[in-house]
Amino acid sequence: MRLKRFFLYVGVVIMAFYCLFPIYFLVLDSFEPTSVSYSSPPILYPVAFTISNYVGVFKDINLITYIKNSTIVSLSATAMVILIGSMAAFAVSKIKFKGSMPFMNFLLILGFFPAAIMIFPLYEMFAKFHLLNNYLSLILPYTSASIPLTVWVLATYFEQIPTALYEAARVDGMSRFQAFYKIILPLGIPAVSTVAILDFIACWNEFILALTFMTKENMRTITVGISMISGRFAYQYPWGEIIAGALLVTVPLVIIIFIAQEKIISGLTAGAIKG
Amino acid sequence: MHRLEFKDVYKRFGEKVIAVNNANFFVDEGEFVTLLGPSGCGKTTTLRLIAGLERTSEGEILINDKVVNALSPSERDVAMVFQSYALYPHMNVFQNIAIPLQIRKMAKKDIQMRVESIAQMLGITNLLDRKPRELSGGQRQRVAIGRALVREPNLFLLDEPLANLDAILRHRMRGELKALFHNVHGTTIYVTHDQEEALAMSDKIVVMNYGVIQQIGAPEEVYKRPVNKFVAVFVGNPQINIIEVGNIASLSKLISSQKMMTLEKLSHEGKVEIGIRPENITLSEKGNVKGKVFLIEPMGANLLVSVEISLNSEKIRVKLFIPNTFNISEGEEVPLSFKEEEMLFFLNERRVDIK
Repeated sequence: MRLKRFFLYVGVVIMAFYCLFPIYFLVLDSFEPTSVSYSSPPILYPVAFTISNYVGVFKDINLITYIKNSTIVSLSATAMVILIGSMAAFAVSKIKFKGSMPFMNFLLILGFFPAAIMIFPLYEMFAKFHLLNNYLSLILPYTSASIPLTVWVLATYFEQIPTALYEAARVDGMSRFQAFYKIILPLGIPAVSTVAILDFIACWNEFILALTFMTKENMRTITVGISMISGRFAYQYPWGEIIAGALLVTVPLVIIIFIAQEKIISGLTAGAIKG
Repeated sequence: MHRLEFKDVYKRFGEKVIAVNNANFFVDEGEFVTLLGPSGCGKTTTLRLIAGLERTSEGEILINDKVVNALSPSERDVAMVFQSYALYPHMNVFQNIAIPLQIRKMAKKDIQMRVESIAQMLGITNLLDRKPRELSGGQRQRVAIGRALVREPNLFLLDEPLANLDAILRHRMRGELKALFHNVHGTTIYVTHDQEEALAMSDKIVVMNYGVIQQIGAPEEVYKRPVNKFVAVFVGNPQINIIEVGNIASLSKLISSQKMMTLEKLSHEGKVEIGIRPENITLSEKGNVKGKVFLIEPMGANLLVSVEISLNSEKIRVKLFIPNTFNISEGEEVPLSFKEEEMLFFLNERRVDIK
């Protein structure tokens, strides 16, 4: 028994090392001059120390602008997906209309399409509607792309909420929307928070559509912006600045995840779905 | 005027299942009516049809003489207490009870007053800021009842509200519930499979089996004059004795010769059975039937005694229900007396009146 425990711990430590080492390495190199990053074999311990990378990132590119754009696009898309997706999930799981299963299957198939396939038709369409370099050119595709997974996850979670609660709400005099808003949605917060985070991260990290539709400097999102750092230097990749930029960009994500994680866990332990 | 009427109502699920089969009944203002029957008999489906949680396949449902088939649950103004109570877990007791009034946009002060008076009536004032998960089963049930009582709906619908309570609480709540709904002059429809509950609480009982209404009547009516064998067997604890005899002549010791002749004639038309309730068989020295005791089941103040009787060639087994003051033991031979006037006669499982 003790032996099993030991191997378990060893396994966990190896996994943790495997996951955390890259982050350690990145953080390390963000404070080293780029020449250190180019050493072969790679240097794994601190040698010099400099904050020039971080300074450079802010100086050489419009980091603030990019973060602003990413935030606007990701937040809007996530908000829309949650709004539309939660109502759809509610209808499928509680109202149980005719054709709800075909609808879900249709969504599933839709979810198999990578958004990147749609680049050509989307580009043409947005060009025609003068939506290029407009936030909507990203918000709309991001929303559509996230709907299938969101609806599936939320519908599955809502199914777990006892139908008697919905029925009691209706008999108590609530309309369908009131029952959704006052009863089902509050009870679904753990799942809603989870998909919200996943959606936000997906939007934040998206590259191809952002690269294609936002060509103006002041509209670029963070993923594209950081990829462009390398373009300014003729002779070598400024790894130090790239790494610094990438880490800076990850910080908001980590904060959001920590906040939402609390909501998710407290929602789950509140449990008491048993009426 | 809080009346309910069912006119030729059918409810089908798919092709094969007829959950409610030609239901016709009415509930008058202020009446406490119980839908009684075994699991799967359609009583809960009937209740859900009244609430609007299911749509009828055929027929009309009228509340206050108005056809409500097309109305959604929120529009019918009925209050329902679910078997699982269905309390909103994320709200405290006060909010749970208040919400039907909040939906109807009642003034905050009025809501406060009403909720507090209901809470007082139900003895849950000290629980108002607790969440459902912090309450016991009995407390949750009171909150569920409070949520129903706080409105003044057309009808109160209760779906086996006592089923999840322990036996002692259940017995106590019977009287309390009946008094509660009587005091608010509520028209109440109550669903249960417990015939004792139905007999104790109702003004009228609707007995159902396999979706078909078997009998509608006051408790005494249903108990003393059941319309068929199912009702006779289902209602009454301990269960009625059903005697099936091949040879009518062997009943000579139990019933008059006139009755025997009638039964003999009837036996050509189908199966003849006699029902007699355990409390209508007594130990009596004057009794002309001898029975051998093979099982004694003590039931508190009474005994349920199983005896075997020889009637000419046939042996039948019956149970009698006698006070525990009698001193008998297994294997003893005891003289029995059957109350002929309380006997029920069934032909092909329908009760017939025989002189």
